[in-house]
Amino acid sequence: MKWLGNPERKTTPEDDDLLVRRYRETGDLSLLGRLFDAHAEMVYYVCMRYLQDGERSKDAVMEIFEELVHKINKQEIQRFGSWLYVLSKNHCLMKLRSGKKMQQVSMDEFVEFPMPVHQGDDAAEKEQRLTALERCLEKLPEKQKRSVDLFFLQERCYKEIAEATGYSMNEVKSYIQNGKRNLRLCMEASHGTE
Amino acid sequence: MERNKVDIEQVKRYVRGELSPREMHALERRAQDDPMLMDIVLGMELAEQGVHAANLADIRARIGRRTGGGRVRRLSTAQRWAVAASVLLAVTVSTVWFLRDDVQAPNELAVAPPVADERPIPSAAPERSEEAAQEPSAAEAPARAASRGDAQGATAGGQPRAAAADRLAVATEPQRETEAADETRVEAYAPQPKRLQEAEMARVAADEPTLKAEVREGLAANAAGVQVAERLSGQAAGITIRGTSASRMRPIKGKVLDSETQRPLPGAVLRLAGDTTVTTDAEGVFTISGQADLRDVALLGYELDAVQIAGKDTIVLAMAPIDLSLDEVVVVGYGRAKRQKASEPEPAVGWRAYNRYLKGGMRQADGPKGTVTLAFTVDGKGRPTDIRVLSSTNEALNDPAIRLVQQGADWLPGKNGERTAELKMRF
Repeated sequence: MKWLGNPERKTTPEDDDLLVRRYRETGDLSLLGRLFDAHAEMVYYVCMRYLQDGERSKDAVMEIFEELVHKINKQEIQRFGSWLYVLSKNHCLMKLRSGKKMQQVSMDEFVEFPMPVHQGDDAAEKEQRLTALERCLEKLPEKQKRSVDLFFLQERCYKEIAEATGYSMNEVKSYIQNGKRNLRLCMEASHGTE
Repeated sequence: MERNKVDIEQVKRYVRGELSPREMHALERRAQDDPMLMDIVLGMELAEQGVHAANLADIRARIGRRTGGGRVRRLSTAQRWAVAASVLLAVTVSTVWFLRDDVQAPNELAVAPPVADERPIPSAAPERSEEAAQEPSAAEAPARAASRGDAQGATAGGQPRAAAADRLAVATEPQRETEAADETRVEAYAPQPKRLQEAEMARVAADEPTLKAEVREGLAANAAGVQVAERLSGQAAGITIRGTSASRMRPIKGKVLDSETQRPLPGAVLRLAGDTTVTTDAEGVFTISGQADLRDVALLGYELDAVQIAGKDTIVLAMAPIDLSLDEVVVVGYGRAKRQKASEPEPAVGWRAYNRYLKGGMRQADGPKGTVTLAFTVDGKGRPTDIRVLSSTNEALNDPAIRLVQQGADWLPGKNGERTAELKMRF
């Protein structure tokens, strides 16, 4: 899918690669600082999302930077942005796991992401999957079904769905999330039986 | 596919609700497949954008400090220290010069030469030779020493401020003093009289060479002061005036003694400024660099009693024993520790005696040879009961073995209350 055309970003992946290479050559921490700075916002929001606390997130960002210093020379990095995201997310999850004092964030709240569904070239197979999908969609609880239908098939945004159904924004999000998961489980089950 | 390009500005607009439903859906749809985008959206929704902006500014500052800016920061700390040090030095120099200037006054009156005339040093040379007769070291040295003595002389003259000069001591060796003529460095250690510090620094602003010449002139006129200076040198240093940097670094030696027995105390730990420590050697002697500031002395069982300054650069620290001691600990070695598995019952008489008993018993039952392993339970009275044969190489030995244990000493249960034991007997 294509991302909304708005490519104004501080660094491009090429810049990242260049900075990573130059840092590895020189060991100049300021280069790494520049590199990290460009992604700091992303790292911060990710921390925020998992830790749910501004102060903790700030600390976590700095810890992630230290981790970056430690790891950047040890790992092969294909795309720095994605790599840093995974690093950050893992760091936050580790923190959540170790910090017993932290408020519990139930795993249900976390979004699950499916592996990209393999592209079936075969038209028949595709047809089969579509019917399976329809069948599964019918099996979903009403609220999930409605939300998923509006979001994925009619391409409405959360806000519109909330207005149309009367659910709250958070309900809409969780219905879509859970509906998606149930759909996937259903699809896998039906695929397994065939 | 530009999947990992997350446009944070777009997300911000989304969170602010500035996007059209189409754009919102596009972003939401994309977030369904892009965990990074999803996390960013969810993270951003958790607080006001102003809060995020403040947090991000803080993070940027921290990164800056951690990477490039950190070095600048550290340097500036060093600079601050340098400034502090130079201010201290300036205050000290001016204080001391002011003092000298002050006590100088009567001599100036006596000699009464205008400043311009004082400048040429050779004019003072013949007078200095008088002092040279008194102290056979380099010609310049007495001159310096005399400067202190001069101060003393002035004290006798009744100058109130010069009383402070009592605390002055010359702590330099003559050969070093020869260098001092070129450059005078003044350093202050410890207790300076307050009223000296409040002295008008402006008065001291006079240029150095002139003052030096003045001092020399003055000294030469008052040769008697030399002895006073020598007497003074043994006293506790309040202000120490030293020669060049070479003498500045001269180490200070000291000794730590037991104040009761006067015996040296090895192993005493001296804590210096900056968290460095020095430990006394077997003779109780320590050496610290001249610059170091002694903070504390510690030795187990002692506390600091008195500090004596002995000589120019030697300190004696007397420590008094204190009545603090640890309880005695008796360490006993066990010869047969291996046999005694702590968790198993053991004979009340000990293994040694019990083994002797068994050996005696087994000899009595002479005849067949073999090994019998018994298992039994120690009852509440310590008697072995429920004796069973676990293994035996000679059936005929079973009964004698059981009888031996039955008739033998009492048993103590194991440390954790274990009551079952095994015993291997070799006949």
